[in-house]
Amino acid sequence: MMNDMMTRFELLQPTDLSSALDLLSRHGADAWPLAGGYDSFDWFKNRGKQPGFVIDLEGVDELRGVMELEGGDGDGGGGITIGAMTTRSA
Amino acid sequence: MAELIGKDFTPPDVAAKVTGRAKYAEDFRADGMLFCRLITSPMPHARLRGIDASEALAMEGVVAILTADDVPEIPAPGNPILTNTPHFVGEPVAALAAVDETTAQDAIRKVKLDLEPLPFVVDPLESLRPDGPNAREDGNTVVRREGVREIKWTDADFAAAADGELPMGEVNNEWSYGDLEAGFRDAALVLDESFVTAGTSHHSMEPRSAMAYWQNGKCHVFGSSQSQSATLGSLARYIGIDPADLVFVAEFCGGGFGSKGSAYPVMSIPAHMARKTGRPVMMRISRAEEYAIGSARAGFQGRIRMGFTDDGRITAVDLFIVQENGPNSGFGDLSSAAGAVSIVYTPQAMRFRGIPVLTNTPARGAQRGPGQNQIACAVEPLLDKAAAQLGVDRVAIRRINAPDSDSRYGGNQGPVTSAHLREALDLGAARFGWDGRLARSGVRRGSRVTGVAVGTAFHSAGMSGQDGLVRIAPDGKLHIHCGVGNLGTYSYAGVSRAAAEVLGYDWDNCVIVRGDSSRNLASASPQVGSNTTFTMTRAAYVAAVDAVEKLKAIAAMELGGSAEDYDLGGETVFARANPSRRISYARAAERAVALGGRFSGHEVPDDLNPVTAAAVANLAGSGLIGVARDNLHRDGTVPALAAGFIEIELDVETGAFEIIDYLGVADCGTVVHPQGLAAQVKGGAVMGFGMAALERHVYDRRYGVAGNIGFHQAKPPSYLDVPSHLDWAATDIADPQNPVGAKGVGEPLMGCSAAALLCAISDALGGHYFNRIPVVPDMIVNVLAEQDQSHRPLEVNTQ
Repeated sequence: MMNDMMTRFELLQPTDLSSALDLLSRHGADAWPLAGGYDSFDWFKNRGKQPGFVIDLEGVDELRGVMELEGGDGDGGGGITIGAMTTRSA
Repeated sequence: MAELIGKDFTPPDVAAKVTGRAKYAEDFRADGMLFCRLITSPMPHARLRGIDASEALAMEGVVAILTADDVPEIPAPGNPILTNTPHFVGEPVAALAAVDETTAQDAIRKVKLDLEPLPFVVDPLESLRPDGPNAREDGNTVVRREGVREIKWTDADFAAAADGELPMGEVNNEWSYGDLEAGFRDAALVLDESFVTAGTSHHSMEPRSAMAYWQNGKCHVFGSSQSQSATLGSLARYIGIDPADLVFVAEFCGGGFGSKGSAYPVMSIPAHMARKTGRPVMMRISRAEEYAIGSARAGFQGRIRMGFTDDGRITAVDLFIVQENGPNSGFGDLSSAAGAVSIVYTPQAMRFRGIPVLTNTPARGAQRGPGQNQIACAVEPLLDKAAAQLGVDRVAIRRINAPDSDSRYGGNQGPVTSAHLREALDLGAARFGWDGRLARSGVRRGSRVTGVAVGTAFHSAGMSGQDGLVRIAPDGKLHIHCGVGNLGTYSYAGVSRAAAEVLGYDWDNCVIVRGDSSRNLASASPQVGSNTTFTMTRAAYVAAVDAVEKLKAIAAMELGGSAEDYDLGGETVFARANPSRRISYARAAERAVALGGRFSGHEVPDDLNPVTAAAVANLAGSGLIGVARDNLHRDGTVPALAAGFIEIELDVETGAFEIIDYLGVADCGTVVHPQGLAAQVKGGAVMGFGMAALERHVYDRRYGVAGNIGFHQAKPPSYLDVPSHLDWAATDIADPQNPVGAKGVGEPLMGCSAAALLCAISDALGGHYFNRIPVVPDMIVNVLAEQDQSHRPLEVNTQ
């Protein structure tokens, strides 16, 4: 059943990748990384997930964007990385 | 020449809406207020043998639990307040109050429900089978004013239907007129199709939150309601008090579409909880809860046989509807659908048979055009199929069958007040450039094919017998004590202007008093069924006429002569023979207070509704009172009719479509408020597009659980799905039974757009008839690929 009522959690908003990783490891299983929230918020609301700490990755710029891997020749031939926080529109 | 009727104006509640100052039910707060949350059934049909809330009640901050045993029992199969026999997933069985919502929900996790599962069903045809399950323990169908009954069809009934054809067994709704067999015998073409229309949630943007407290023996409720005065009686009954002991505040409503037409049972829960706890109680309803308790449109499994002459005139209609009713009394969509067919197409002979079948899905209620709009979706594309086979133009086939003011309505073939669908079709065809656009029908550019179509629809649109109440204060201002609810259409303001018009008031000198029953409001019809504009302009008119008569009588007393010698102008009463002999409305109001009696509201007509009589008693002595019951002549159904014209481009690779242009044309009598009407034509169109191509209930057959409980799972159209410009027009032909010529029109504006879009999709596909709404992209792709559809022909509640 959808309860539409989240449990209490602490919202943490790191601004770089190493802080985010540090927070994730510090809170372990009680932590939940949040990207867009499309699924997460439904899970919070129906209480399928009840994290004590939600780590919002919105401010982690290193996870954003399409980047060419090192060793390429500039035409993408060496492969690319699509950051986990990259949106379709930007 | 009207000064106010037919002119645009800014309704007085608009500023608060656009600045965020408007207070909806959940915006109210009171000292010491508790929050309550609902405890709902996880099963589609069950018996609640017990509730163990001991652990929850021991938690800090938890105050009380309310069960079905604490609230009035609503006679079955009416919608209960709380129930010990839940009939659908999400039906409230109890409520729990705590100091905040999180605490309440934490506590609800500790409440143990002892539920005994009972048989359930989500498809009417399954319940009609000889050994099919019943949605209620005492049966599977409902007879109005009688109750629950059981009807099973025989194996032979089911065997008689060919594959994909609706079987037809015993029914409990039936009427007919004319010689049906002769009609079919004389027909040049007979079409026989089975169809399915999906159930749909109401999608009110504001969920049905409510707050309540008790003070000095009165219960104050802040609710979300389409109606104001009309909600009092039913809400008082749910609370178990006299309406005189209820204060009901409903200043704004974030959409109802029929689901908040009058009080609904859960609206009373905060009042019961407040009585039990002695504290104010707020109940905020979530979007997911709204899907369960927010009402829904009934679905149809239907079959229609139609006979046509070779020029397209309909000779006979044989209509059969199985209505997916939800588990309770539901709404009369099926008979309204039949009534609509009788007036929109005026068949020379017609038979209607139908049966509502109970299912363990959310309780059903009226949704914008309940019945009329489903049947428009089923019949209009069929009309196009006939037009194609007969070689008749699609506007022409609607025109030849369209009603006029001498047409008759329904099984008893009663009269109508005025009907101008033919004029609406002519106006629309000219404005839309129908003949020119037809050249684009079926033309393909790349992967996109153009579809062009027209759709029509009906709803009755007027009642009578309500009261109007106006007060001219000694400062000269006109106070219109309006019991009309603010459902979002601005009809409360539109109808109030009829009173100002009669009295020749400058609109800036008028005050609409509304939104709170303690502010002395007149009785009113409920804001449902597109009736308000017709019904309540009549009530405003008679109140104003009463004020006019009193103003003239006072002028004659003050200035000599008789009342007949006087006229009104510039908010004064003057002698026709010598206009310098005049008395201002302000002065006349002062005189009314001094005179007392009927002038000041101390004496009132004895046929007033008790709500109005109580309001006048409080206002007596504060000005010149105009008050009357609407006893004006009315004979017959008031038809609201509408035609929609559409051009779309359908992508044959994806099944997606884009709406290129839309024009909605209203036959609503004299236009009262052009901007308000435009919003209805356009808003109705957008809602109709959703009905045609997006929205539907999905229920799992094995568990009876909803498959869509959020906007992103049951998406209504947004402004991104429609052109930024939608066009509108109105016939603007006065109805003879309304003093300002007006009729309502909100509902068919949705049906005509839904029908038009479905017809356009069919047109783009070369005339394919889908037998089902909504028509979703995978259905379109399957047709183009000549593949079977993924649903079985008559299945409901499917993905």
